[in-house]
Amino acid sequence: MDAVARAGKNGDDVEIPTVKVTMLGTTGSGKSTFMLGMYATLSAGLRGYFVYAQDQDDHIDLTDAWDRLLDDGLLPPPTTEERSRRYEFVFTQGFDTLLNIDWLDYRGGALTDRKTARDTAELQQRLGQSDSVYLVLDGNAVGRWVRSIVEGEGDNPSLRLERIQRELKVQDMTAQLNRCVGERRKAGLPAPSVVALITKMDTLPVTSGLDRIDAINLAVEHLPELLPVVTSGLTTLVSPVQLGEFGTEHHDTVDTQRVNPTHLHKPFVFTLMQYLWSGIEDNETELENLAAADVAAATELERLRSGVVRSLRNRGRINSLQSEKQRRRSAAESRRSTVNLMNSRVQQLRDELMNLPIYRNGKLAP
Amino acid sequence: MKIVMLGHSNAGKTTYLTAAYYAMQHDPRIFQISAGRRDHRRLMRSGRVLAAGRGYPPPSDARSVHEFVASRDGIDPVEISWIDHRGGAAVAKTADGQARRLQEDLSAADAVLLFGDAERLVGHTHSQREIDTLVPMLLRAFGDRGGSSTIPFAVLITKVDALGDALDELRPALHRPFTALMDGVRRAEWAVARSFEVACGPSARNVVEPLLWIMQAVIDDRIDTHYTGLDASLATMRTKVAEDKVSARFRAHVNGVPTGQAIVRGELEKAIGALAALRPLHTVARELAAALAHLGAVEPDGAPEGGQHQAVPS
Repeated sequence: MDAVARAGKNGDDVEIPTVKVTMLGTTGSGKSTFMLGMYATLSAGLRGYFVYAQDQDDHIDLTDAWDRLLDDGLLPPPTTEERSRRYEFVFTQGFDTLLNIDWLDYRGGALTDRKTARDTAELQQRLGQSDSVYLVLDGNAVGRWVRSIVEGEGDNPSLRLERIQRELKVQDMTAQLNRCVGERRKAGLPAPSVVALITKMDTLPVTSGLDRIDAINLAVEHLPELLPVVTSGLTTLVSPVQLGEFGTEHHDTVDTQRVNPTHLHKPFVFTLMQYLWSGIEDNETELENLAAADVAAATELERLRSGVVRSLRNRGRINSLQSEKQRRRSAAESRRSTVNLMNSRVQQLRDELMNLPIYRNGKLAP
Repeated sequence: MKIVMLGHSNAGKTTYLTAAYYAMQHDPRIFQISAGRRDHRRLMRSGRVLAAGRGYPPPSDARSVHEFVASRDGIDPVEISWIDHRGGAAVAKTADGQARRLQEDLSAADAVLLFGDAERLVGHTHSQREIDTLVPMLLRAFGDRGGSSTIPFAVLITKVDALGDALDELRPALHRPFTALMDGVRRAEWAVARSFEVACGPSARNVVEPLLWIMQAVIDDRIDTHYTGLDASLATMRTKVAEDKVSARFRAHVNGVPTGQAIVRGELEKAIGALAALRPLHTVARELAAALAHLGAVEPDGAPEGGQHQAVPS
C-alpha cells in the first residue's frame, strides 16, 4: 500500500494510502460492467461516502458509458488489450479523502494468455503489488453449478466440479492470486484481501432452479469446493452483485427498464474496511510496543533514581528517558485517536456488509 | 472573493447573476454592490427586461468574470469576482479549455453556487443523474481543502415560480437530488451549506438571499479573524508583562530590540484596532441575520426547515 501526503485541514500532512485493486476473471464475466455500475453508484454518494475519478476525462467516459446503458441499453464492450485502462479513483467520506484507489481494467484474456502478450506481463507484474484482488465468477455459471449440486447430475461430482472450474478459469485465477500472495510476502507486505465477486446475480435463480436466497446460500456454502483458495487463510468477501435483470442470454444491448444495480458498492466498502481493520491492527500493535517501552523505561528510571548519588550521576540519562516518555505519550495519543476514528468508520460501514459472508482464516466468519 | 457558479446549460446561472445584481441595486439596505460602468449598464438593462417579464439574458457561451465591489460604511469593501461558465463546461472533457478552466476556478473558489432547474428536477427522469455528474468536479476541487476560511456552498433551485401551487408538494423531489452532496458538504468543517428556492423575473423569490448569505459567511470569517488576532495580542501582552524585569529591559536595550513595554504598546494598538473593526462588523452581522431570518434554520440535508421561503420582492 503506497501513501501520498496531502495537506490536512490544519495544514499538517496526512497520509492518504493508495490501494491497488486488480480484477481477475474470464472474458465476459462482467468486470468492466461491474466497475461501471460501481462508479455510477458511488460517484453519486452513498451514506456520505463517494468515489470519484481523479481525471475529469475518465469521469466523463464512465458517466457517458453509464448514460448509454440507461438511455440505450448499451453494455460496455469487452476490454481489449488496446483498451486496457488505468483509473485513479478517490474514496472519500464527504470531502475527506480516505483512500486512493489504483484500478486497472484488464481484458479477461490476459488471465490465460502467454506472458508475451503485453498486458499479460503487465497484469502479472501488477498482481505482486495488489492490495486487493477481486476474483470474478460469472453468476450464470455459478447458478448452473448450484443446480448440478442440487440435482446431483449423473456424472462424477469431481468431473462436474472440474468442468465448471475450467469454465471459470479457477486454476488460472488461483495461480495468479498465489503468485500475488508470494510476491507480497517476499516484499514483507500482508496478503491481499480477496473478493469473490459473483456477477449477474439475477441469473442465479434461473440457472440454478432455486430462489435467489437459496441459490446464493448454496453457492456460498460450497464455495470452498469451487474456489479452494478462499479457505487458504486469506480474508475473502463473497459478494453477489448485479447490474440489472437481463436474463441468461448474452446481448450487447439490454432492456433499459431492467437496469437495477444491486450491491455494486459492497466490494469497495469491503476493500475500505480491510484497510481500516489492518490499520487498527497495526496501530494497536504499535500501542502495545509503546506501552512495553514505557514499562522498560519506568524500570530503568526507578533503578537510576535509587539513591541520591546515583540519581545525580545519571541526571542526563534520566532527563532523556523522561523526554522519551513524553514523546511516546504524544505518539500513543495520536495513535489512539487514529484507532478511534478508524473504529467509528468501521461502525458506520459495518451495516453495509451485514449478512455478506466473509471467510477469515479459512472459515466463515460468524 | 471568488464566487463560482456550477450547473448545466439553462439552469439559470446567467439569469440569476443578472437578477441578483439588479435586485441589490434596489435593496441597498446592507451592502451596495457596484460594477464597472459597462458591466453595470449591461446588467441593469438585462435586469429591467427580466424583472418586467419581457425576456431573459442570453445564455453564456464562454467563461465570463464579473468584477463587483460590495461596500458598506465602516468596513473594508469586499471585492467579488463572480465567474459564470457556460453550462456545457461542466460535462466536457479537459481538451475543452473551458472545462479545465472551470475545474481550476472551482479549486480556487471562496463560494460556490450550484444550480438545479426546478422544472427539470421534477419533470425529467435524468435529473438525479445530471446533478450526480457534477459531484466529482466538486469533490476534486474541494477534497481535503485546507485553510481557515469557510466556504459557503449554496444550492440554488431556480425557476420555482414555474411550479406554481405544486411547489409545496414537489419540494421533496426538488431537494432529493442534492441530498448526498449536501450531506457530504455538511460534514466538512470548512464549509457551510444551504439551499434556496429561487425565482428570477416578475415574481422574484429569494434573489438577494443567496448573496447575502455568502456575505454573512465573509463577515463571520472577518469577525473570527479579528478575534483570533485579539487573542494573539492579549497572549503576547500577558507574556511580555510577566517577563518585564529591569534585566530584560537592559538586555533589549543592549541588543537593540524592542523592549517588552514597547511590544505591549504595539499589541495594545493592534487590539484597539481589532475592537474598532469588530463593532461595525457585528452591526452588519446582526443586519444580515435579520435579513435572512425568514429563511429559517437548515435541515440536515441543507434544505430550508419546513421548506417555507418567503417571497421577497426585488
